[in-house]
Amino acid sequence: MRILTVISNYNEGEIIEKTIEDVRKNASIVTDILVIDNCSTDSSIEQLKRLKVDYLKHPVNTGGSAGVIKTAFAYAHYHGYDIYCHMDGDNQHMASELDKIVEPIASNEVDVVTGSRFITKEGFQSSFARRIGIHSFSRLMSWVGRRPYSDITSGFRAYNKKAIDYFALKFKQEIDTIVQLELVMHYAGLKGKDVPVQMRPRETGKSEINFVNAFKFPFYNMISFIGTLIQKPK
Amino acid sequence: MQISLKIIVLLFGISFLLVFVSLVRRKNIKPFYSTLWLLVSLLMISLVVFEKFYKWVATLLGITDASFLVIVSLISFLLIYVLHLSIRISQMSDRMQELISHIGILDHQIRKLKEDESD
Repeated sequence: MRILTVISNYNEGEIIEKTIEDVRKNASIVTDILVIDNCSTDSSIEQLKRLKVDYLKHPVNTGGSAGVIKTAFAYAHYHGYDIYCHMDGDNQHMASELDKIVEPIASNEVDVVTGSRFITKEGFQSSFARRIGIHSFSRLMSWVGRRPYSDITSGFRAYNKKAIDYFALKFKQEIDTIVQLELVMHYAGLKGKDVPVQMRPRETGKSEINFVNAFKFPFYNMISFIGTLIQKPK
Repeated sequence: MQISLKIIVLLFGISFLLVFVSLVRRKNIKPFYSTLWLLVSLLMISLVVFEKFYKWVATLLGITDASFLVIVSLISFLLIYVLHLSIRISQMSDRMQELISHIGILDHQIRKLKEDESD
């Protein structure tokens, strides 16, 4: 079974080395590593060249991390991978927990596994404001998707071949938010599951949360959520 | 219509016309869109020139105020046009996402081939 671990990177030049080293040293599965760079404007590319890691660079920024996920699906399909694991470049996800999200897929139990911080409530729990947003969207998605979702914005996920093929071949639309991605997968009949994992707090770089984004994120997510509900992709 | 208003509408229509003709000449807009705006500017000019005709249409539809007719038709034109633009933008962003992904993959593949060559 061929497994691909994608690390998404956007201006994480300071921390990307730690993230890559973590996957190289501590990964609990045998996996190929690919860094997908969403057209960073900092020194990320020089770092990636220096670290001799396999990387793929977007020619322009896609305006969201969901664009990186779509590229990863296309890449995984193109190179015939069986499982695709996703990690964020900010070193919040732990490579030692990769086996937890891969195991339910390897045993053919489900199609998509999400690593959730909020099941056992261990490790870094994110800020209060952000938790409120994540919890409300998770509740909403649980109601629509008829299964418990606990950490809907988590980027720590694994997808099987069925999910890879669906997004690479059938679903040719742009995805705006992670919440929308979850809904699309539900409509596509991809079975999902949340597993408890731990995450680290963000060490460097600026968090995405500021005054404008605090209003923008929920609003933006809500719009794309309602739009996808109406659309109901086949 | 008052004479001052007539002059304003006429000037507005003519400048609209000139701007869009020049934009199309410099190939800044696709002919399809410029034709659309050309029609709008011609309509503006015709408001002044064929004022009586519009008044006749308005009374035919049972509208006493001719300006109401103008406003309603303008708003509905703009709504349809904005809807059209939304559709275009959605199509384009979907295509853009596909292109970004595929260019990324090809670029990666070319880099790999070059590395293999130099080894």
